[in-house]
Amino acid sequence: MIDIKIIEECRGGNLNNFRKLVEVTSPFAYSVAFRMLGDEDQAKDAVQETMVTIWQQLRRIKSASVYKTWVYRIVINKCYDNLRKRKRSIECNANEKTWTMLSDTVSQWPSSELEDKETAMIISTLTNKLSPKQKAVFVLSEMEEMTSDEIAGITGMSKLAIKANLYYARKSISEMLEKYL
Amino acid sequence: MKMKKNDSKYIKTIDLLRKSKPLLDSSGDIEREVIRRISSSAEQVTDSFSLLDLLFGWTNIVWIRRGLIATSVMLVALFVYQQSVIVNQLNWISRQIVINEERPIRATQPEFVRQLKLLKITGGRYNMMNSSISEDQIEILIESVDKLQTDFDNLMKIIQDDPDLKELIEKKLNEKEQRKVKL
Repeated sequence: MIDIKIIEECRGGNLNNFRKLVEVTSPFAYSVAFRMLGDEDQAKDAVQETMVTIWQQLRRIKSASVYKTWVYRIVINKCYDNLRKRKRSIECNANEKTWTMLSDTVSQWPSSELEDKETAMIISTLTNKLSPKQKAVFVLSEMEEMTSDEIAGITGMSKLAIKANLYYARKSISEMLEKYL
Repeated sequence: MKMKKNDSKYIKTIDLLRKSKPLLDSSGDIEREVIRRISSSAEQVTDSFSLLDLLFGWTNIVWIRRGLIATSVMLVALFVYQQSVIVNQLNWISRQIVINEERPIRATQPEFVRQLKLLKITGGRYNMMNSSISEDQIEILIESVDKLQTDFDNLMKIIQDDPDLKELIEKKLNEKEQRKVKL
């Protein structure tokens, strides 16, 4: 939980306190951005932009309890912007190396773990066909393990829409795993 | 059975991805970059709003500041509006003066000529101020004199153009003169 005092001091223009806020906020913002974008550098850029936006709009925060949801919302929106700029590939170009690596790792499950670059490659491949909204719901629900209420608060979608997007995302990824793994 | 196999692959993959939580190794770099961007944008904001700070820097209460800024903007807008209204009015008035300057010249010229004619007809004996003759009657008189003058000019021209007629008229006039002398 973020201390409301830090937020209030940051509102007054205290950059030293904002450093503390960046330190606390960056890891979870990076986690979502990384899983949404499947790219380390782009995720870092998204976090930077998120932190700048937070600084500019800190006065909107009325209580510390809503801070995390608010940050997630900003990160997701930054990721939407980034994904819209990219050209969506029509056909998923399954990289043989990625599938081999994933197959090996899954076979050693549950003891195995992935490195960041491997994770980025796999997420990027699996979510390639998904729309930004489906990606957001998939990442928040399956990766960040959030409830549908929390996802609704972040994305502004209805529970029904979240359910539908998650169903499609799971179906698409399952089909891909069945096809290539 | 096939569905279960699929689910197993899905669950294992998702579990792997969940466990492999991405770690931010360069949080210091992000922090520095964010602070740099905020500082540079803050400098720009400070430069552009230095006048506002000068005017309203004495209060840190946001709503008072905003209220004062909004009020001052409204006052400036009202001032500009009033100025434009005044300028428009001045332009209108100056146009009116031009018309008033032109009007006496246009309006008095025929009146002046009319009064001159009247004086000429009456031999300077007509007093406009004390006259009981109406404007319409004066107008009819002037028109009649004008018509008479035109007819006289035409007649003189005809006489000048015809030598026989001229001779005849001169003869008649001489006879008339002689008759007057005899009397």
